[in-house]
Amino acid sequence: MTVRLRVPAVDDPQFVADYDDRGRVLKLIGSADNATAPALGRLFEDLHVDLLGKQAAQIVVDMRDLDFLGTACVKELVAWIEKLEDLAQRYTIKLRSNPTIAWQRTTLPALSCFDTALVTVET
Amino acid sequence: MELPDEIVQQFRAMALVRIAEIEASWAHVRSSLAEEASLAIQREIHTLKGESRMVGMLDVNKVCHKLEDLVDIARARGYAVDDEFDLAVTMALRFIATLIRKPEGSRDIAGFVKQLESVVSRHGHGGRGRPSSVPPLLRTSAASRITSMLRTQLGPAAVDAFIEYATAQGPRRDRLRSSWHLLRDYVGIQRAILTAAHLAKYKPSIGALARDLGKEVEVVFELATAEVTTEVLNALDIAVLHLVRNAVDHGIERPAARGAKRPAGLITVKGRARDGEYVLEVSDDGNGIDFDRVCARAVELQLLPPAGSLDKGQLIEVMCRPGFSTRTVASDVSGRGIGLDAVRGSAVDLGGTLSAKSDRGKGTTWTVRLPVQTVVVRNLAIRAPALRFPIILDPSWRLLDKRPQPGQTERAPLWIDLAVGLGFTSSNSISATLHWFTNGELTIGVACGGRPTEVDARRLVTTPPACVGEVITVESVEGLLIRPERIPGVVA
Repeated sequence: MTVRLRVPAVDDPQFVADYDDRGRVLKLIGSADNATAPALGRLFEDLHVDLLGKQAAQIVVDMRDLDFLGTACVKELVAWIEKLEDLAQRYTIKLRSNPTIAWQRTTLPALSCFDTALVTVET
Repeated sequence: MELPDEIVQQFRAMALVRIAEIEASWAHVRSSLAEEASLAIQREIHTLKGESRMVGMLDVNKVCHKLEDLVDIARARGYAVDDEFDLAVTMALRFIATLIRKPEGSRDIAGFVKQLESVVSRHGHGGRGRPSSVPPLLRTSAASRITSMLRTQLGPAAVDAFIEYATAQGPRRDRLRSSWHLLRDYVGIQRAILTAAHLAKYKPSIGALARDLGKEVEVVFELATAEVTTEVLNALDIAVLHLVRNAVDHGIERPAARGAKRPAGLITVKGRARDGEYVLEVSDDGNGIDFDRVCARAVELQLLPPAGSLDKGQLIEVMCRPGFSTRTVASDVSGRGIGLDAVRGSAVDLGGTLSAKSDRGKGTTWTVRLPVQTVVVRNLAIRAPALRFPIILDPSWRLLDKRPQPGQTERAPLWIDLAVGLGFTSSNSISATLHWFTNGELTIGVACGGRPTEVDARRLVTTPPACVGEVITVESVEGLLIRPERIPGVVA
């Protein structure tokens, strides 16, 4: 599966989500404000189904070029983690972060605290 | 400490509702600076923190404590906080929700708290070391008691919706059912049975809190069972939680300091409904309120001029202000000045009051008075032609033994068919006989199927006296309480 998602509109370059199926890397670029959350939630859901179907061991979410993530988008990430927790056979999520971006310094390590067995942060 | 599973489940359900309310208030206050939303955030978090400790969810308690630090900073800055801060609050609330929903799992509580602490320290807040202070009011103030106002306004519309639904047939009835149910759920009275067991649910954990503080406490609950609205039940729940915690933390002394008194402090929680109100008293035999200290702290916080002096009642009012505490350092039990404000706020929202009496060395009694609606109405049930639901007349009307004779009333006695009076066509599906009723001013005959029988009806949708009726239930079947004098044509 290869996904290239522009949200909220195709001609809006503020936020892009690219998924590389071979490397299982989801790259989030730009600024994901709260209006982006529903589309991002659907993307996470699609990926979740795809990864389970392929019995993947891990997905990397590359946020190094993600300048901003709205609170509603963070809730979608938490919902993704919670959904994964309920499963017996599950994959892990590695968050690739950029410590020079202020919001990432605390938010991503805090996200890993929801389930340290499932979520790790790579700087 | 093992609490019954039912209580823990109740806590979980209520806690998730609280979190949803905090999230909504957080979004609201950031865009509107609404004072009421700001206070609601503080009260809800503080209550959640207290309840979580009582049910033994100490991880939730820890995160709530740190979240309170964040909220204090946000409030002090007029909610002008950056994205990182906003995300930290959101994450904390989600983390608490996750801990409540699924306590098990590979959570890193210490790691999460550390992340929140780093946000707190970056925003120039010393956390535990901060001085407790009364924050300035925000710029705007939300309208108070909007829910009660809306309920009052929507009551007559809900009664109309019920009448339309209850008399409709076929697909129209199905359509109207959803409208009626929507209104009923929104404005209807939700009842609850208040028992000693309900408010005594925290008893085991109060002992644990006392032990943590190096104290010995005996708690006695003397509560009469009462049928109240869920709003009243919730307000009493909040009052018991905070007032008992305050009594343990502030009132009861350590055994060595109790002098001639017995080593274990006594806290008594008494409550009963009387004369249209529910009165809850939380008494302790501790050290009493140090009014000199309250006065000095009020001066320090610039709530009183340096030479100012107030009587005890006025100082108690100061103690209930949001953010007021005689402690200069907040502990994980108290010191933020939220508890008494939460108790008073929830009482005032229902039209009630919070007051206190205290004698130095002897103890303190806090009294919460909440107006309670008359939930049960007893009167005669009528079967009315064409109306297939229970009907009772307003309790101001009573049945006469026989038809009044000419000259007994100022004008000729009137009789009515209730269905026609409510705007419907009558049917002859049941044979009707006239029974005569009076409210002292008017006497009317009402076409009834069979003799009226006395029943207990529970009020569901209340309306002002000018409205034609209310929705009630008789043995769980929805029906109408009718005020005949409000039916068009009955009074010229």
